[in-house]
Amino acid sequence: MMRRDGWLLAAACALAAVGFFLQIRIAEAVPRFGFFLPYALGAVCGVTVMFAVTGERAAMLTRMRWIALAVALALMAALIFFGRRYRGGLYLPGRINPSELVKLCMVLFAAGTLAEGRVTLRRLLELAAGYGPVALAVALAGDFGLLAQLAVTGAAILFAVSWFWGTAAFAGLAGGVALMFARPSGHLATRLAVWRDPLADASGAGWQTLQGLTAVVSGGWSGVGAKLGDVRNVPIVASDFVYTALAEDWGLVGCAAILSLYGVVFVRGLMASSRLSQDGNTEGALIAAGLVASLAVQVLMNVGGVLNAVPMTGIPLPLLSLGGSSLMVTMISLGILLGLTRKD
Amino acid sequence: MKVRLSILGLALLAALAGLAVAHARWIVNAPRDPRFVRFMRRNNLRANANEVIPDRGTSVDRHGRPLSVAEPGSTFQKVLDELQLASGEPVRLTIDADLQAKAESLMDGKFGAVVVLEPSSGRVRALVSAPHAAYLNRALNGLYPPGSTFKVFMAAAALSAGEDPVFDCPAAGWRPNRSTPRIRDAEVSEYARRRKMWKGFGRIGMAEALVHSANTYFAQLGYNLGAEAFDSAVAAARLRDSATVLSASTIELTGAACGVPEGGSASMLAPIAIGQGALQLSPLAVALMTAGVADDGLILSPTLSEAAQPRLRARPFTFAAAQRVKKMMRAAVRRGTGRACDIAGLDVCGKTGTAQTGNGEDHAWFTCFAPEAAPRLAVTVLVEGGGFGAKAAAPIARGILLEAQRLGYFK
Repeated sequence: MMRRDGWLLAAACALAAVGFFLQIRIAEAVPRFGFFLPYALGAVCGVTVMFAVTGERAAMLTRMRWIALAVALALMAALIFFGRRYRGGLYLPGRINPSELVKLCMVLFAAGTLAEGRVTLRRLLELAAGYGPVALAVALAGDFGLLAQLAVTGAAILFAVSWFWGTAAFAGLAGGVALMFARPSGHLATRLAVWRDPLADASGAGWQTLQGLTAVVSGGWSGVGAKLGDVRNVPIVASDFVYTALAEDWGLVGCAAILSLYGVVFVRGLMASSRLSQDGNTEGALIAAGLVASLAVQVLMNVGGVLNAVPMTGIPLPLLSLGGSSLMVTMISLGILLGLTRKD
Repeated sequence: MKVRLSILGLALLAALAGLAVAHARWIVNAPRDPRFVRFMRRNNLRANANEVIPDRGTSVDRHGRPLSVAEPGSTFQKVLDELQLASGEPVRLTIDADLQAKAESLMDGKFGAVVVLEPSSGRVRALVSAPHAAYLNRALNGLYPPGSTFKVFMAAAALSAGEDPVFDCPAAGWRPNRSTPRIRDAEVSEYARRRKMWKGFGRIGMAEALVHSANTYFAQLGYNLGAEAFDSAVAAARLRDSATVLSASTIELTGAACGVPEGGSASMLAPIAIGQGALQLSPLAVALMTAGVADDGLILSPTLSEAAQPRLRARPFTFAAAQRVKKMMRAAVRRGTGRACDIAGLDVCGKTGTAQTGNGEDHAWFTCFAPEAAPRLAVTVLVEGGGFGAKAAAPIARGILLEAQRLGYFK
């Protein structure tokens, strides 16, 4: 096991452990069951995947890119046809959120498509052919958070391969976001209004964000102490707003520690990607970079949303938020990442 | 690829650092944002919320002395928050720290409220809600049957409407019709306890009725006044105004259950006229009613802000009516039910009240003002479950008036 990246493994395990104990702590105040199973199942899956995946086997994963794309499209189609609304989001029956799996599939698809390590017209067209329908389906489902995550992850993979196309992708992304912000409508307009001034409608649209921020402010620099925060005041504290529970109990100090752990995961993941690319394993390098980008954008959008630094999108915080599908896919992703770091 | 991956890594680390900065900015800035603080206060019952919001020890009393009552958890907390958040800066309050401290010490260990205000300006000099409770201010928001203190209002309203009747007030009591219970006077049971027969008040006018707090008289007064005249008197005094709490300069009354309920009739006014039945008022409302008599028929908007200009709130009674009720209230203290509050050299005018709650624990009221010639202060005291107003509430009002005299309010 120690032939794999110890730092990455330690940081991932620490985050999962913090998440697990945070969920126990929240469940004591807000009774809730069923978080043992996702954590246990996720850990088993993650460890299995970690042992199964190696740098050499990365090519096998990327060769399945069209299958991955088909799975992503099938999941989105099922979501659109059979999805049920819950708290503004679409879920498959059993409240399964397939978006995590879609993200993983699209990372494999993009990494496989660009496996030659350079961008050609044919590969660009293939990317467009794959991302186009998925993006359309995601937009149809109204999940702009997922759309943003897919776009940023794709752009990051493109950036790893090519200066020009990567920069162009990020620029296009920025343009798209600016366009959406300029003429928002419906649900998005509400979220943007809250983002600009959560206090404008403090008891209405901004209430949830403000309740979370109150916990953050209440926690202050060093927190109110272990298990002393009043998590019952924050809605959805176990999943989307789990950061506020951490912030109230442990303050900025505790949160900075958690953010640092994420930083370790990102940096070690990208270092592994760099090493793989030097070994000539472009597939592995791109998968690693894509997985890191996917995790990172989740962390940034979740914590940024809770802190009102970016508009709220309703994305779970990897390893900390309660959510079976999110947890399991995240752990599988980390398993892949760890498998790719294996040195023989 | 290595360079680009490094850039990606650095960008991610920078973004994480940005999150920490955003987190820190909320911790630093939110407690300084009055709107955020207001949200925190209103919406959160967090025990530690008080620690992270700004120091409120900056409120001062009318003489510029720091107010200890402004500490977290005091009954003033919400009031001060509203005042300070509305104006954005520390507020010089109308409260007199000495008078407030005296009133608080007199109410120590009791449940109830004290309101002390200047009838001529509406400035509140002391406001006690006992015991301290963060989310209930009994003086402002508590609703109680006003008992016999409401007879002051009935007398002034009837006189203002030109009514000054004489009624027969027998010991057997009085009722508007056979389907309602008899309204009797307290003397009946008092005499019965001493194994004596009480003959009743006989035919008496309003002055005697108020001095002796004759229920039989005021029940008939209410009945004869009628629902329409009563309603317009309540409206003129703005006793029924909708429930508002506070603004920067004024305290609005919490009206709620005042007046005649829907579909009311004159017969329902019999119990209401003696401060029972469907009638409920806050101690502040009783204080304002008293101030209306003291200030010759004018009620000024109550305020906690020393900087606020006096504002006329209502004009419920005529000058002549107020003058006459003043004399009656003076007589009630000199030789009637309010003798416990008589202070030599200070012509106190007052009215007791014992509001029956139906569960055996009567609320004790005393509302008064002094001096008769040019009233400087109105004092209203409520003691929940205190029993007789004359015994439980009047001595507290007396203590407050003596302290006010010592502080030079009546010079």
